[in-house]
Formats: sequence, C-alpha cells, structure tokens
Amino acid sequence: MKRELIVMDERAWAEDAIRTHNLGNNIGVSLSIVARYYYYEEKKEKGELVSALRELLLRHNPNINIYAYTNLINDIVSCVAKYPLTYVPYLNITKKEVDVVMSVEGKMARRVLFALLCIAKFGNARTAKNNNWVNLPMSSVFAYSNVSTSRSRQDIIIKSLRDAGYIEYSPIIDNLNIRVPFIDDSDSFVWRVYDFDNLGYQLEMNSGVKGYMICDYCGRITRRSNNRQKYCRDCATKVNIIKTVDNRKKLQTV
Amino acid sequence: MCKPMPKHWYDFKAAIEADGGERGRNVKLLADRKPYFMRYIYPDLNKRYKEHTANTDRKCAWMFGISFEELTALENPTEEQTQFIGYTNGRRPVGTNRCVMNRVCWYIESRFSKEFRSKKINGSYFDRSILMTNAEFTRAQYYGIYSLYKDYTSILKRNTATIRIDGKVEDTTPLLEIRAQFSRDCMKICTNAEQLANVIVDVCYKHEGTKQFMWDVCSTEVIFNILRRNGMKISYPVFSPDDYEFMLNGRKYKMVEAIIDEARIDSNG
Repeated sequence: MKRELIVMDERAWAEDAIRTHNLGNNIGVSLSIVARYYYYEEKKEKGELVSALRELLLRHNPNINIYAYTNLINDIVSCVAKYPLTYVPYLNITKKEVDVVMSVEGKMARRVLFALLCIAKFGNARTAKNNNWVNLPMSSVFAYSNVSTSRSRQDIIIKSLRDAGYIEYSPIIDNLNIRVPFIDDSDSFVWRVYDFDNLGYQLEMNSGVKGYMICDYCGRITRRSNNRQKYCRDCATKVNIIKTVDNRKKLQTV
Repeated sequence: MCKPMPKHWYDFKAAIEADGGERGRNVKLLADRKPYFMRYIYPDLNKRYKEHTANTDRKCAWMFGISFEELTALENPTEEQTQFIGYTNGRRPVGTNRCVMNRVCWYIESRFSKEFRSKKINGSYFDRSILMTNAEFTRAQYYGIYSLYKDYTSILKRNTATIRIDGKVEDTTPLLEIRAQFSRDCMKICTNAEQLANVIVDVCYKHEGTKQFMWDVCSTEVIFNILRRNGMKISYPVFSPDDYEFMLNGRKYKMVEAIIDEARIDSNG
C-alpha cells in the first residue's frame, strides 16, 4: 500500500539520502527534507539549494526528466526557512491511551486507532498548533497500521470508531482530517514508538499477542512464520547472501 | 486600460461589506463560483471539483454509512443529513444552477457514459496489419528494435519537456541528429527496409505509448504499405464551387482520386 513518508529524525534521514543518493518513492517529501537539511545544517543559500537539489535528483535517477521538477524544486526552496528539521526520537504512549486503544472491539479497528494515535502524537511533537489532528490520507493511515482491506470496509471501521467516540471529524464538509481527542501526555508511559514501520504489529507485540518478533538484522517488528525464525523476509535473503560469501571465503583460505 | 472587476461581484466578504453587513442585493447577485460546465475548460477547477466530490462522498460514508448519491435520494432525510447536503452544495467549487450551458453539459455527460469513455483506443483495437506487409522477422530483431524504441521514447520525452518549459520551439538540430542515429541503429539490426517497418509497427502497436518512433524512422515504408493496399490510389478534396459533393466552412469541395507514382515519393517523409 502506498503511504506518505513520516520521518522522525530528518537530519539522519537526509544524511543517509545524500550519502546513498536514494530519495525513495516520495520525491517531493524527500527533497523537502534534504532542502531543509542543506539550509539549516550546511547553511546553503537559496541559490545554491536549487543546483544542489537538482544534482541529487540526477544522482538518484540519471534518466529522470529534471525539467519536470523545476516548479517543485522552486516551491520547496521558496519555503525552506518556514519549518525546521524534525527530530522526534520516540513517542511515549501512556497507560490511559493504551487502555483506550485496547478497549476497542476488533483487531483491525484497534490497529487503525493506534496508528491514528501515533500519527497525531507525532504531529503534536512537530508543532504545538497541531492539536491532536491527523491530516494524512486514510490510505497512508491504513498502510501504517498494517490493515489491508477494501475501501468500503475502511469507511466502516472509521465510522465505528467515531460512533464510539474515539475519534472526531473535521467540521468542514469536504475535509477528511481526523482528530484523536483522548491523547493524554500527563500519564506515565508504558510503551515507546521509535519508528513508524508496522505500527499494527508493534501494537500486537506490545500487548502480548504471540506470532510477532523483532528482526535480528534490521530491528523491525514482523510477523513470525515459524518458531525458529530470526530475520524478516527482506533481511533473510540479505543475511543468506552475506553468510554464503563468508563461508566461501573461509573455505578458500582453508 | 480596463478596470478590474469590482471585488464585491465575486468575493463573499466584500459583498457583505458592500451590503452593510447584511445579506442584501450584492450577496444575491454574487458570482463567486464558475458554472459547472467550466470544469472542462479549466483543469485546475476540474481537479478541485473531483477532489471535493470524492471527499464529500467519503465523508458521507463515514457519517451516515451511505454514499452522497444515496443520501440525496432519501425521501425523509434527518436534520443532520439535510444540513450535510446543504453544506456540500455550499462548498462545491462550481455552481450547479440549471442554466442552459450546465444542462447541455449534463446531457452530453449522460450520453458519454462511463462505459463509453472507458473504452481506450490502444493497439489491440486497431488493426495494425494495414500498415504492414507479409515480410516476416525474427524474435532477435524484434527485441533489438524494442530496446531502441524504449531509449528513443525516453529521450523524446526529455526533449519535449525542455521545449515546453520555455514555451518556444528550441533548436531542432539535436533532435534530427538523434533521429538519424536511431535510424542507422535500426538498419544495423534489420537491413531490409520492409522487414524493419513491420518490426517497428509491431513494436509500437503492441505497447501502449507514442508511435512517434515509427513515424520518425520508417514513415516512408509505412505510407508505401498503406498505398499498395489501396492500389497506389489516394483520394483528396479539391475546391469545386460548381460541381461539389460536400461543404466545409461555407466552401464547396469534391473528392478526386489520383494514382501515386512510387518513384516520386521522397525518402524519409
């Protein structure tokens, strides 16, 4: 499922993107982060920013049509000074919030509510004016919550959460933003969220549901397919290649 | 120099101010939105309208569990539902009053239904054999030309965007050189012009995308093929005020036929 990028440590993300020349799938958001990094950390002037961003874009994809991104780059550079780099090392989920989430009936609805809670808290950490709002598209929210379902079923889940009072809608009729009113940072925290990968699985694992594990290689939470599993599916292939290469080297030296 | 439109003609706040804080004549005459049919003239307006429609439909599902179309069809809507319909109409970026042009637009939309619009014209609907001969080609030739086709279309896209950005036609010499180079590369893969044309037509029409590659590299051969199928005969309209078959823009024309001499066709279109 396609989802909007949420980056908790934009400085580290930008450094990684510049080093590896990889801007991911969401070019607009990625360029915005890198532009702010160049502006705040490397103190580049706005004139230098445009050429730096174009160069990075060409390194990311040499076949890219650079002229199609002219307006985007100009828009990003014009408002680069508006927002600082985001640094949210973790999100504290308090006991009251966990109790509210766990009181929801239905696994899918619980995961979606937990994702909404985390995204709203992230928004609050970024800006004091956020006021518990989630302004991401629902497709991203459902992707982060590891709930893969039809559009009509998504609407039913959202409606049920609202009818039960867990979320609120925007009063503007064509605005799909959602507010999470039960956020309460005054209580003691019980969980910490360090990244937005697989929020649904994080909820399951933290609440003691079996069948989830942490990958030994990348640290992501993933579903377990057997009891001896150590790595997630992506890392299993990489680790296998690394171990095979190491073993062959050892055999050659012997 | 002409004056701009008075603000109270199109801005709600200015209209209220002009009416002294109340909803008076200026608010009643306010033209704050373009009419519905103009969504087909302004792409930005069309985008805003589609977003509004999609969002209100989804919000309606979230609030009442039904689509907006179903909500408007309800016989006894509740107060909240009536309010929702009212707010939706108020926030719509286009005006849906039953003026003549709007009604014409809705009529045309109903005739051009979704089913009709979704039938995309692609290679599978077009009989490409009319552009080809019976000369056969190998798979190696096909894939060799296909790889050149992909490179050519990506270069073309880049160059076209460059030209469009500045809004004027750039120097076309580089493009002509690229075209000539690709023609030479294609001839290396397939030396027979007839076979080459067949391969290129097959490649272009089997894949959805621009056919410019075909017209740039083997246009002469393709035109030859079409002409040969029609006995080298072409029909074209000539101006004929006395003995005419049809009219266009107030002028009278008739169709005449001519036989084309193969030797007279220029090479490379």
